[in-house]
Amino acid sequence: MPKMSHPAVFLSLVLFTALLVGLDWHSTELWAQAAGIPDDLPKKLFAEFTIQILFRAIVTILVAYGCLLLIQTLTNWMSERVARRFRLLIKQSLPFLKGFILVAAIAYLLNLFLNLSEGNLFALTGTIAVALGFAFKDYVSSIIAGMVMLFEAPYRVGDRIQIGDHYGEVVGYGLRGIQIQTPGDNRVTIPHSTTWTDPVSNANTGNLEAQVATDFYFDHDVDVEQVIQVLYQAAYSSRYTQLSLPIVVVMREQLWGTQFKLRAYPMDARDEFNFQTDLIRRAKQAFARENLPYPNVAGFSQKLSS
Amino acid sequence: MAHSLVRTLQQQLDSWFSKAQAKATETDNSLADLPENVTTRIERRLQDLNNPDVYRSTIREAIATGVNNWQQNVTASNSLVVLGSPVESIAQIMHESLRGWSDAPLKPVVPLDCHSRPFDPLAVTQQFQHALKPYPVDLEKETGDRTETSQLDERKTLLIIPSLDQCFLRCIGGWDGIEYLRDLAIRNRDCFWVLGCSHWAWNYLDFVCQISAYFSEMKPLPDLEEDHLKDWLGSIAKTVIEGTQPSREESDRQPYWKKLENQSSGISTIAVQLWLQSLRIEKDELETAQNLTDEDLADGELPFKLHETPPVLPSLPPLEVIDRYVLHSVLIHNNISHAHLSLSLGESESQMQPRIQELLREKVLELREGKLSVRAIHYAKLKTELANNNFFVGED
Repeated sequence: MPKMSHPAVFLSLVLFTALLVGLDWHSTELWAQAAGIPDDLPKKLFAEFTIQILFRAIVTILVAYGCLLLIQTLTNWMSERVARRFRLLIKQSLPFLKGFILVAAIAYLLNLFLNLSEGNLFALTGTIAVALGFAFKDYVSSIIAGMVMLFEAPYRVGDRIQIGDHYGEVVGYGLRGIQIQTPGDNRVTIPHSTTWTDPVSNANTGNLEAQVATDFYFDHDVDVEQVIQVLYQAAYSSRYTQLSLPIVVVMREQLWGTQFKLRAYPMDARDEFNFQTDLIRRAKQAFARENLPYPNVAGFSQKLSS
Repeated sequence: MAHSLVRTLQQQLDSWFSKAQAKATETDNSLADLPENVTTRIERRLQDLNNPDVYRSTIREAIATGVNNWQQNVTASNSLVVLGSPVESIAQIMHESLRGWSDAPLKPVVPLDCHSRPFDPLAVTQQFQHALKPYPVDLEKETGDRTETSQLDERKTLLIIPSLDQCFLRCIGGWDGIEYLRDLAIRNRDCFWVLGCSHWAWNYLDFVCQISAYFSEMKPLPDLEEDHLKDWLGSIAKTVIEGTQPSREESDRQPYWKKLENQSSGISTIAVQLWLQSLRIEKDELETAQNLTDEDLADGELPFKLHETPPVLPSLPPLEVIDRYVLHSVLIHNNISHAHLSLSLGESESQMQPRIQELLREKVLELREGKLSVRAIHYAKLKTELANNNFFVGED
């Protein structure tokens, strides 16, 4: 069973229904008078409340919850079984499908309990705004952020992102937040509202490939051309490399030696660490064959201290 | 992505349709699969079959035209690359094309046989250096002011490298030999260089050492059409198929060849395997066939007739992630030993062995003379599978 924010979704649906059922017409009328809403509003905001309606509401909530669970499970199951190219396509459809179910369920529940005229809708949104604004400020902020993020797309399901200290693959997109799977196989839940203030670093932005930078260090006297040649060949020969994307080697001088950075893309961003390991393994074998000198850090420290 | 999705769906629908058709035929005629001994016997006969004539004529024509241009025009290209599918033996096709070529424009010389990769892949450069010693770059000629006529007069050598696939390995330093050859060919314009290579290997070499910038003239092997297939396989088919009886008109079999052309993508090795797989035997004759000894089968014609059913590409078995890397590597190298495969994948042989065994058992891979290669009949589906999984594939 996938971990997700279903309890949160379920809770919000239940709370929302309770809110609608709990409010009686009298209190709404009083509120309407206090808010200076004209008297010509229809007399009944709520539809007639019966056991049958309550039963239908409960069934709707259960069906919606079941559909959410099913969609989450199905998309996860399918996306891990289809070819890589279609994996992200399926994963990215998850928030939209969930959103569609939520909207449909809420619309049905509203229609069940309310007489949705123009005036009633106005009164209702005011009530909800006040109630939720005070009681669930952060929660609502996260929900709104989640909806905005769906369209701004700083992250999507399947992307590899960094928010704060947390880096990993987005594996869940809930109403309140996202879940990322870290390289250490932990699941971190981050509220959508974090993105109002914190930067989001996205490695692949909806693509299968994400750049991987691997550092190598050598002595100042190393044959630079030889190292660059080996690094390019390491990337070209790795089974993980996406050859149609650029491979670049850049250098930087440090006090203790020369730093080389190999930038290349694996065919699947998920292979990031395997790719890095493969590059290092291949390159080190070639460096050993060519007897290339690594930085002499001990000598450098001695020089510094003397 | 939309294109690959459509292609996958199309392939899937086609496969379902063909399977349904084949199943219907089998049910109607009460036919059974061929027993192992009969399949082996026909396979042996197929191995003796020469490559299709159209391959030979295409290669000869391309070489003759290329050499002619090069001998008449000082700036014309001095090379030709013959590209084939990674499930065809390009070396064998090249050798067959050169064999008995009486009106060749120049006598073809094969300095390096390229039958198989050396155990140490880094030794390919030395092999090339040794084999191409008689054809060095003459620095005086290169820098001197030779007249156009004198340059053309010296163009009398036709060098053939039958299979580039066997001259590199995907590992650090593994394509140094190709770079040596590439640099030599571009400088030694007194020789005309003909290289055989698979599309996949060529694409890979193009990524890693931009080889197509040096060898611009390319000639892909033609796709086999229904008539080519009929002419080529017809001689064997005649001896084993029921349809050669006078009661059955040749035109009745035309849709079969068309179907074979479509399913095989015009590739000879796929067509052969598909044809063999489409053969069925009457259930009544199954017992007789199973009891035949090698001597009975060695005599030539089979003592019973077989039936052709619509050719269908088999489904790929479920592949694990590592399987795709293995199969991709095998396709790049055409055929490859276990040791070279593990070097290419950066894994130890012991780690690769279980998956290789599984792929051999599933008949996706086959082992011949110690080399692993992909069974041609799976090639089309495998290519789509790998492309959908973001691997680069050869554009054949």
